[in-house]
Amino acid sequence: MYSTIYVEKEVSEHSLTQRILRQFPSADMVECDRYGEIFNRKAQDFRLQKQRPSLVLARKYGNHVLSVPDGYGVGGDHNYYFSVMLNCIYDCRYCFLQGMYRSALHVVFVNYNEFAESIRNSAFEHGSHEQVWYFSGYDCDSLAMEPIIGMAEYFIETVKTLDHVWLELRTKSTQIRSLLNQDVVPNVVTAFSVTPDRISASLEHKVPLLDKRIAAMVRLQERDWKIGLRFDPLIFVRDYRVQYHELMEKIFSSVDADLVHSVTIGAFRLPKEFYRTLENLYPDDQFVSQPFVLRNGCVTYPKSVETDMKGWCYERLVEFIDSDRIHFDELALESD
Amino acid sequence: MTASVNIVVAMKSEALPLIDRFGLERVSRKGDRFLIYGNDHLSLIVSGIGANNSEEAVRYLSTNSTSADVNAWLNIGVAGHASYDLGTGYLANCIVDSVTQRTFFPVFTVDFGLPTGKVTTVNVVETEYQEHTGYDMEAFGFATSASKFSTLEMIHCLKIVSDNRENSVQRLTKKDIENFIVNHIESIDLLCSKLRNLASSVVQRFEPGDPTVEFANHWRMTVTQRRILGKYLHKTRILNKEIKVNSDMIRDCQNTSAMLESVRSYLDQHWKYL
Repeated sequence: MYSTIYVEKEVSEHSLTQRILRQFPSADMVECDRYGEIFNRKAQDFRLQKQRPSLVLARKYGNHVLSVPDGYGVGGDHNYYFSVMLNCIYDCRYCFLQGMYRSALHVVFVNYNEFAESIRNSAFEHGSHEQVWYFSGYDCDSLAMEPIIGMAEYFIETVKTLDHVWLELRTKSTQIRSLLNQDVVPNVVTAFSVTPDRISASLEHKVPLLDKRIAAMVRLQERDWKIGLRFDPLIFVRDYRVQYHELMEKIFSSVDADLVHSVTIGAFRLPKEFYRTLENLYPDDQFVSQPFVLRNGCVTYPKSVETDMKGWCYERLVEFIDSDRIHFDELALESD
Repeated sequence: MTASVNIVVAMKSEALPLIDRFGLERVSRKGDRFLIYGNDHLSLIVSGIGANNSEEAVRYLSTNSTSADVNAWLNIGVAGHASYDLGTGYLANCIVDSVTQRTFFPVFTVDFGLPTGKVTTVNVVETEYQEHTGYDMEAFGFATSASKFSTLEMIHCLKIVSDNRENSVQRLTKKDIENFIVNHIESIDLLCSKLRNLASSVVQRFEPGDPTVEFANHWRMTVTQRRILGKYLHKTRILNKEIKVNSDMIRDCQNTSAMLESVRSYLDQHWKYL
């Protein structure tokens, strides 16, 4: 998987570094002082790097836990995110990471203990009667690298004893073994991002087939793990009603809707600057070249399209799920 | 827009086998600052020894050759090494400037089929070979300069070990250097081919030519209007459609703004949304 692994000298002896390196015995190991010497420098081509990304093992200093952007969340009183990994093994054409970073290299911060400490510290700033959420799938997929980096396993352990703390593992992967291998932790939600088969095949490169992800959802539910569904981003196609209806039918014919923790709905949107980068990276791509509009600093669908899509999806979803478990992203609440 | 590979070597003896292999013709004239050779898709410049020369040669080649729009850059040269056998060829995965300790990390997005290792660029010939690294005199100057003209995935250094603790650099002849390059000519050929493919893949992202040229002959446009029109016409091509300058929807427009609106409207109507 990795032919080159860059390692910060400071973490070269770290147990997780050693564990990861052992899994890639034939990779070239290159030492560096700080990951910024390699990651996100100028004059890098994200699209070329995405073909064969290298791995960077580093230590994260400060800002281990950050407040989520407005509109992100599933109803908690306080919402934070943390990223022990930057970038993703999948290659979704709509992904904002393509616009956010110049590098497609995968960075893993091995100092999980410092992230965990920040989670505990920030959680204790709030009363035990308040729900405090931690989202781990913001800058990466939470589970896709689990067999290699063991991130979910570590942070499930972290939140296990913190009753008012919730952990969301957002993913498109099927790597759920670390969850199945342990007793259920009730304040952990594995949230699966879903799109219809045809859209996924067109835009979500290297992502596991929907059927396999649904099978993973079912296995988690069978073991009493909470799952969430993320219809985010909604992708507009002419027959989106047909495609999304098929998607919901497919999911809820296998997944127990009563046991779904939460559902979110959000249309495709990217900060303007990220979209400009995406246009330069993929000028030949049909999705990227669509006639999007600029609203509230984001490149997205025309308001009418977004409202129509979200409204329709909501109406269909309430046929399966109580409305109080369905959440929208904030852009929908803003005016043009 | 075309793709090309620019090779930078320090010495003529390093250049000769490459000139021979790739059938390069001399491009530079007598009295020019650098010797330059080239063919349709490859340029070679002889920089002279030292990081400053290498840095200047990259800059010179990028502005003076019949350059392509997307260039990969390759530094080829001999190097000393503490432990590698003579004749070992490897690509730099970390280049250190011995004076400033600044580093340059090439980015590997293709399997070039060659081993990799560290290179330290020194000011004077290294004879102690203290660290587990290769010692050269150009790589850092080359790489930092090339990074101003290309992205890091397309900037690489191939070093061939010419001297080590057992084999002094003092005994190295021009013929020895030439032979070191000759012995790696096949892998150099393959390396150049892969680098050119990388550059080509970037070129292929963009439509050839300016789609607005014909429109500009019929419509007076500001720079901004022409850029917008180019964007619309590019998207039209992605849809496998074509808007001709003499089509009804264009011909009847009263002014440039109306023409742009008409093109935009056509685009919206025909957009497939996947």
